[in-house]
Amino acid sequence: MKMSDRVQSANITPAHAAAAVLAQANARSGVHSARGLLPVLPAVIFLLLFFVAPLVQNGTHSIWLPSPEGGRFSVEYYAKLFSDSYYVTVIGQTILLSVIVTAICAVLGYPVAYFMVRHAGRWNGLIIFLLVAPLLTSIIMRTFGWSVILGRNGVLNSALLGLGLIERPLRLLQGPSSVVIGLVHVLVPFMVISIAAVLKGVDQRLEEAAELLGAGRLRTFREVTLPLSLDGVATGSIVVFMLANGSFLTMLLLGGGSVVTLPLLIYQQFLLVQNLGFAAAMGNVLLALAVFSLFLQLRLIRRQGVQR
Amino acid sequence: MRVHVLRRMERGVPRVLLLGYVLVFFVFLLAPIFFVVLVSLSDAAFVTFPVTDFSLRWYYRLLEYTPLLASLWFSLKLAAASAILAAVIGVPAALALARSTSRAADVVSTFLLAPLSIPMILLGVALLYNLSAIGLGLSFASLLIAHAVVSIPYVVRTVVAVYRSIGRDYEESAAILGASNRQIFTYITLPLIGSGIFSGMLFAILISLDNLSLSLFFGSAQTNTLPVAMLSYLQNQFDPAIAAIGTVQMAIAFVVLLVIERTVGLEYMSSPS
Amino acid sequence: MYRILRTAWQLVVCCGVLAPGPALAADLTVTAFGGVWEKSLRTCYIEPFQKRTGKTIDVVLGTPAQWVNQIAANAQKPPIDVLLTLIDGAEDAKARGLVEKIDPARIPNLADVPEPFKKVVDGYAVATHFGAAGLAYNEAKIKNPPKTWNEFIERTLKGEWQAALPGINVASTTPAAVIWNFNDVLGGKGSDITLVIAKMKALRDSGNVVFWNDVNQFLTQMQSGEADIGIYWDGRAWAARDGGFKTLNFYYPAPGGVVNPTVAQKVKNSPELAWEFMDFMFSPEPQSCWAAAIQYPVVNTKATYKPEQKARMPDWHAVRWPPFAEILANMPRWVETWNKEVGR
Repeated sequence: MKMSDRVQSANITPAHAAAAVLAQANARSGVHSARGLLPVLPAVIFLLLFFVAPLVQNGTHSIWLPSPEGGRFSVEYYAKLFSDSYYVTVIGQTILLSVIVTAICAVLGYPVAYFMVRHAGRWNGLIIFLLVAPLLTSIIMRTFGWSVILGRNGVLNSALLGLGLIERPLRLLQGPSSVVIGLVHVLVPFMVISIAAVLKGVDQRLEEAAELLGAGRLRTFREVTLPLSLDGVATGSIVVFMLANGSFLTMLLLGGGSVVTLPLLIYQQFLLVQNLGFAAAMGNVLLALAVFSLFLQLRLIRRQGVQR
Repeated sequence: MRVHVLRRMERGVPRVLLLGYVLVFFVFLLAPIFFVVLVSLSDAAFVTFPVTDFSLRWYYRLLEYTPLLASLWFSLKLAAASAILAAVIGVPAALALARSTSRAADVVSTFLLAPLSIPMILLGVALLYNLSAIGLGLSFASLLIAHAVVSIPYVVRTVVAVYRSIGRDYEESAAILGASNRQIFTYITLPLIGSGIFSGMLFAILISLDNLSLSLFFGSAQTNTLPVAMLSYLQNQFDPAIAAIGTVQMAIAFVVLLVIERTVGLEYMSSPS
Repeated sequence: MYRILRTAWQLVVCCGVLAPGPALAADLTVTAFGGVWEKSLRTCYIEPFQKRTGKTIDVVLGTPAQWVNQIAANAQKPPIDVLLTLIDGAEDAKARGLVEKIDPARIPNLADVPEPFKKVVDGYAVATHFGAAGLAYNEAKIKNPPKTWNEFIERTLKGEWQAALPGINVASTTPAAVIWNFNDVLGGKGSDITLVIAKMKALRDSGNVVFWNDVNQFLTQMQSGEADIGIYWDGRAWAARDGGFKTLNFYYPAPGGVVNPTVAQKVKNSPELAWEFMDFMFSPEPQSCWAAAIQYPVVNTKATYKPEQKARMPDWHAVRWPPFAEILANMPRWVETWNKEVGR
């Protein structure tokens, strides 16, 4: 051994020792190897049985079409979805709407989460209740509530007319704006709760330290709080995006058909046409798009990750 | 001294603005609900606004038209059971995934989140045929499985997010101080990820209670969830009973959250001060 | 936390899984829509039948798409024995081979039912009662409503009022009452719907039309003033008027309302008791009770009605019968065309 090594080995501090112990423990439990993933088995098996199996069935329906002889193999549904400009537009609209709703929810929801975690204290339970309450009434009644508010003779228009801010009533219902409002209304609680769950774990002393070192409130937020809570924003975005992607009742009831998304077309196939094959093909396209965007988001998080 | 006051104002002004924003936010959130509760107290025989006469008769109607309350009770049981099942299956998976750096973890993560992205109608129909084929048919068990499938992603996702953002320090310190794995899990990890488990299960419960597309195909005389019962009810009348049952659901949520707060404490959701 | 979870799980398991299960299933299961429909079904059909025969009957609430799929998934031991559904659900059930052809010998009471009601779905179903789509309007706003369907379309285009029309997603309404109906009165033939699509586009672009995609939305729109007149169902319109919407009036424009019957089907592999129940369903007394309860006319010619109901009822000779089977065969193309051209 060289002189430097011997010196180094004589300078083993408790921290080094602990790190060594932990490294050994980690290696044993295989954190860096796939063996550490053993606890995921129940979840994976459960989903294989009750998610993948139905999925495969769906996939089969979409390419094995019924025919007088018993069945034939065809990818015509997929071809139609990608070649017909109408369906391409619908796919695009679905993604665009989900992105817009997610962005709005993130911007609107973060301050509320911040308030909830930092300033609310005893009122936490009440805030959670207020966030959750809208989701507990049926969508039919929520739609009714929105029609009372946004209708031509509704509360909002009466107020705006009364204040002289507009001259003719706004036609908000039956258009894209009411769809966005309806979706944000229902999905922003998910965003708030996701962010709050992570923000709660952000050590306030880090913020205080930053301020002591001279950073203003805005800078502290931008460079300390926000990055540390990014996982919460990411979770919220994933959840909101997925939920928006799969919703159709809001488009149906609040949009009056002005916004057509893929789930709505799938619902139509069930309700009006009973063409399971086409519905399955659309479902698979939706699934593929969603999984792809999911994968992207997860990669993004990993790169920004709070791995220590 | 003046600087001190200014500093205090500098802290105070943003806080007031934040409070103001939060109040406006909640007005937005609760506005339609306000009208729903109002309508439930209406005396009219169908949903109409403005409400001129008030009465509780639609709440009494819930007592005599039993399917709505029965399906509410069923929905609550189902929501709780599926959330718990999702937590039992999902939390260990989330913990393993959050700490793993192997390539497989990314794939498994995406896989466990995938059920979020399938349209629930398709999943419902496919599961109906699947579960009927293996003999589970239209039963509580089928619904439990179906709801758990769509709940697992929520629990996994929120727990992973919280666990990753906490960092290993606490657990490492405990390990150095001699705690066993089980002790670390019970006294350190679990409390720290409490907010993740809580929010994941909360999402699971909400999704389950409001779930129409998935539950639609499993409804039967014994297994009917509230959204399906409401949909069926609305085919032929549009009366305030629907508003009443929505208000009842909110009241139940209020009571449950109150109980949780008094017993376990909702400090899961706010910073330790 | 762990203890709480465990206790909760134990609670749930004992309450949920041990709840009364299929072991206590009834002798017969029938389908029903919820609310007043289900209550009336119990009062007029189920309870009397149970009392008479001593057998028990279960009621499944839901919607036709759900029921048909449930039967298809368990074809050998269907969870439903008698399917009470709308025409499109019935056609779907027949197409999938899930129901039996109606045997008049097993349902003697069918002798009192007129032919058209027995010919629906090619004899694989019998209509139990029917309603017809017409125009519902606000008397306070419209003083001389249109006399014919064509007049309705033209005056809406001219902007005399705001009209509410069902969008494509209202399954039991739009295909027959809008697409086929308008096409028919405009002179369109068969499955070629270019005429009606052109008119729908004009109506959409005129700014005088709002579309409803949920059957209750129409009432909300009428009440709030978003619309003053629109296509709707007789039973629901009268129920709304009786329920408090005093200015809502309803009628069938010439050449007639568009009929939509509710039908009963016997599911394959269901017990013989199903035939007995269906026969009971078509006897005059229960049918009269049913008519009074849900305010729709029934098919048995011997049934009796209250005078105020008789005044409102459509004459079954005068309603127009859409070619349901053809409409359903055309649905894929029609839905796609509507989506691309009208998009509502």
